[in-house]
Amino acid sequence: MNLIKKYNYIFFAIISLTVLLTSCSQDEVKVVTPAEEVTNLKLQKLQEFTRGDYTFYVYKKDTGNLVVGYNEVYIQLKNNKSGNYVENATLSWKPLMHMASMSHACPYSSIQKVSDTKTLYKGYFIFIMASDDTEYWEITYDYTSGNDTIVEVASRLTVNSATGRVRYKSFKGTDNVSYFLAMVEPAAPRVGTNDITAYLYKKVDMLTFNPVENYTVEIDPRMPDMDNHTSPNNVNLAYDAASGLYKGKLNLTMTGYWQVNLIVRNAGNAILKGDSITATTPASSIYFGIEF
Amino acid sequence: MKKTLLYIGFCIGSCALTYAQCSADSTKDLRLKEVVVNGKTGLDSIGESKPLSSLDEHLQKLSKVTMIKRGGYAWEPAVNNMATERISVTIDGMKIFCACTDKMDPVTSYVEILNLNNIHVGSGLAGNLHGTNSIGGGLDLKLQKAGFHSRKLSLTLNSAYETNGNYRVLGTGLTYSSPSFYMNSGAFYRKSNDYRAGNDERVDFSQFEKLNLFTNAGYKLSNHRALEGTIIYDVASNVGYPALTMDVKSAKGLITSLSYRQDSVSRVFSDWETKLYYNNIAHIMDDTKRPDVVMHMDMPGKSRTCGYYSTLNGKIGRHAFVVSQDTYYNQSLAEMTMYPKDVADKQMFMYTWPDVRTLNSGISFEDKYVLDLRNVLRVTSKLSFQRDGVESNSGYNTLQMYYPGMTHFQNRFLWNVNGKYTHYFKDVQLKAGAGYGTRAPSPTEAYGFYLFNSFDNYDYIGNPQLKNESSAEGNLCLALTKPRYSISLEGSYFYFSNYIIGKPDKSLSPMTLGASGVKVYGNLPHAKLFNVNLDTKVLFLRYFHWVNRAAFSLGEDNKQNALPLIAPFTYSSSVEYLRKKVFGAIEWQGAIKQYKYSPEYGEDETPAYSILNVSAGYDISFKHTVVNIKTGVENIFDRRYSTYADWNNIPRKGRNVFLSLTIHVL
Repeated sequence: MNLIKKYNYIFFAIISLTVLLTSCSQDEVKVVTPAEEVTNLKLQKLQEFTRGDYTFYVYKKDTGNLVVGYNEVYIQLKNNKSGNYVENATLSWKPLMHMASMSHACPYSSIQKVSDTKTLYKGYFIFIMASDDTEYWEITYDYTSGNDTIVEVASRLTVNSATGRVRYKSFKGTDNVSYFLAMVEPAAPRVGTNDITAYLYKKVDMLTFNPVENYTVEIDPRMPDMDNHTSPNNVNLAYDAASGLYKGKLNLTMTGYWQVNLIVRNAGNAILKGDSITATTPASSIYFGIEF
Repeated sequence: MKKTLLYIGFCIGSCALTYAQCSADSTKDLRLKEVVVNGKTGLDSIGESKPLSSLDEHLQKLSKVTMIKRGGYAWEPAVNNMATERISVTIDGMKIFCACTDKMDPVTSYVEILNLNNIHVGSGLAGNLHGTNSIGGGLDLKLQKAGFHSRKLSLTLNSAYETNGNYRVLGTGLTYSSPSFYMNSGAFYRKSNDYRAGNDERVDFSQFEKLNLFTNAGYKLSNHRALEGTIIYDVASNVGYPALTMDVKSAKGLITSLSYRQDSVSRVFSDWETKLYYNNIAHIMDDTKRPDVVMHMDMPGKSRTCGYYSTLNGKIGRHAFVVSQDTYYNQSLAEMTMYPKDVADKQMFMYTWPDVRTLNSGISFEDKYVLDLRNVLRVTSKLSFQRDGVESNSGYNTLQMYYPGMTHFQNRFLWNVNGKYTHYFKDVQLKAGAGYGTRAPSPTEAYGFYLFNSFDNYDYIGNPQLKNESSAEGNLCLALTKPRYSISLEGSYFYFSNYIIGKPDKSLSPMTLGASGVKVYGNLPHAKLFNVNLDTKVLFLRYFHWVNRAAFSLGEDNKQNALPLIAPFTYSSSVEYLRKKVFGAIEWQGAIKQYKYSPEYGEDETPAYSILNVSAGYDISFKHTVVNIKTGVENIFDRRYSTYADWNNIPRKGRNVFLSLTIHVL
């Protein structure tokens, strides 16, 4: 019995040591510079432009252009006169696609301060088409601050077609409404349980895209390479009012290519789009792709 | 490999005499069938009809041992119809665990007959003093040690050939002993092509090749103290498994140990052995040679174990006792990478044994109480603590999908107690025993992930929330021994609670292409297993032995369905002639139809079979050399047959003519 106790002690010792080592966070107060705030979040600069006394810095999380689908965009605003970054800016933006004969917007969010930073702001766009030489996306920024207010700072952006697996899907529902579904998470999928989140918007008119509330996005992850092997205990995406996101749980039993088949149901539980997987229906008409 | 260096150059040493006494003692009491696999001199093996056959073939001949066969090589031993999970297989007391999730490499495949002196077969809970989780029994493979004797150097050369499969065997051993130092080293090589079943049907992918190198050495520190050490390096390559969908590219085992022995510790304590050991197994499967592979996969596995035991023997009055403390730590890790047909898709990777760690530490106790000349009582018990779990975070995240409440590691407490009473009355021996014990789930049962079983065509998923399996055992043996004949009838009954077995879970989707579904390991409320063995031996016409053996087993789950891999009625009868240097034998063996089988676990009704084998041998000795020649024909009538234990009914060898030649230079 002593021996058993001895081993228990050793394990407790190891466990408590691990807890100690991992929980010893650094309490020192350190001033984080605006540049460090950018590097801390591993942001890459997309563009910068100056209007009046202010310079807009636009960032995103990875290199390359914006793509069709969900894009998180970060902003810093610098007052060139004082040399300081604005810490409490009231910022807004509007996307617009300029086509030869018409123009339209896309789903997008308002701009929020990034928590735990002083100078960073962020929001997202769900671009619904790519730009080219003649058709381009333009973002118009407004900065409201008393006499310093500047409006309609327009900046063109290149939006490429998405490469890789499908993370965004637009479809016309059985209610004849156009819907736009964009996956946010998992950004870095792993074997095991992943959070899966997505935004769902519908088109009201060419310039108005509204979030859809209280629908359900059912998921059925499959591996086409493995005879449509699936994983257990997945949780369908349900609307989370606080974040505006649809949230669920996605289980992945191994690495490789997963096709996450989708069924979108409205608040009345009627199917708007998507198919159940059966022996004769190996894939739904709408799905996300995840590969890692 | 670093660890090898640690052990290289050490030496060994043993009070071989004391050791032999001890094992002889327990052998008798345990009714262990001790079989001399390879003797030190040619004369020891004269009674063996096929001395250079594989260890698997030797094991197969032992009472209570059956071999589950997936190909021509590396059969899986079972004792009392219980296989790997329920028995313990140790090498000279060392714990060693296989590295293949598909049981392609039972630990008996990492040793060679030339490594071994004998094999102890222990039945039931008291089967192996060094065993852990061994509720069914145990095999202890005792290593061949030259021992401390007068100065002597001897050389053994072995070679054999078998027509079936063009099977070649070459081996050599060098033995040196002196009063203070001994060393025996050797090399053994086997290679076989595909064998042929009866009716000249070739069994594709049944080839194998194996090389085994070993050294045992001992050094006497003083009269009563000695150091001993062992290194075995075994590598099997290009091993085919006709019953499975994959073969093996290589299976490498490194087995090392260093022990300290002391006899005459005090008036009470006679001898004391402490052994440190380390072994490392690396196993790599291969499907590249198979036609029509739906999906290419890499499936490497490894198993590393280090541990020690310390065993003290003593005697107080009529009590002879053994106390042993042992601890081991095992890492079992296996992974699978699958290459999709669509090369644009990424490779698929998963852990099938997610870096499973097991720490087990226990104390065992055995007491033999001689009440009087006619009555002996033996009590054994073991208590152990086990901590097991999943080290890999990825593997942990994987299993958590199925078991959200699971923890990385868990503690288990295991115990067993067993008593056996022996009564001697004239030539009659009566033994009655009873015991109760528990075992922890194996890494596969607790943490295995999508392990495909080609027998029932299901993927298996482990269950970390399994309860310990327990067994209540009763056994009875009646033996009559006369100078000219002997009869022994022995029965054992195991009543399991929380019996661990896989059950289909229809909600889960199989991973293996073509699999019927997924089974998850669970605890059945109870199951039972009954074995009965009859052995008779008659000596007639001075030089003839007529040996008969029959065995019958029955295994049922809680719904009276048959348990899988339970032997039907089997029998063998042989007549051996042994006179000085001449040996001859004729053996008839077979089994009746397997009436009770388990369709749920992929079994079908195996038909009856019987085969006939003959063999003959002769020893020639001149000066310092003994030459032992053996030859024989197995399955003379070239019957095409398979037994209940042949995975997916692959047929066993057809007619096979063998010739072996052993030269001892003393």
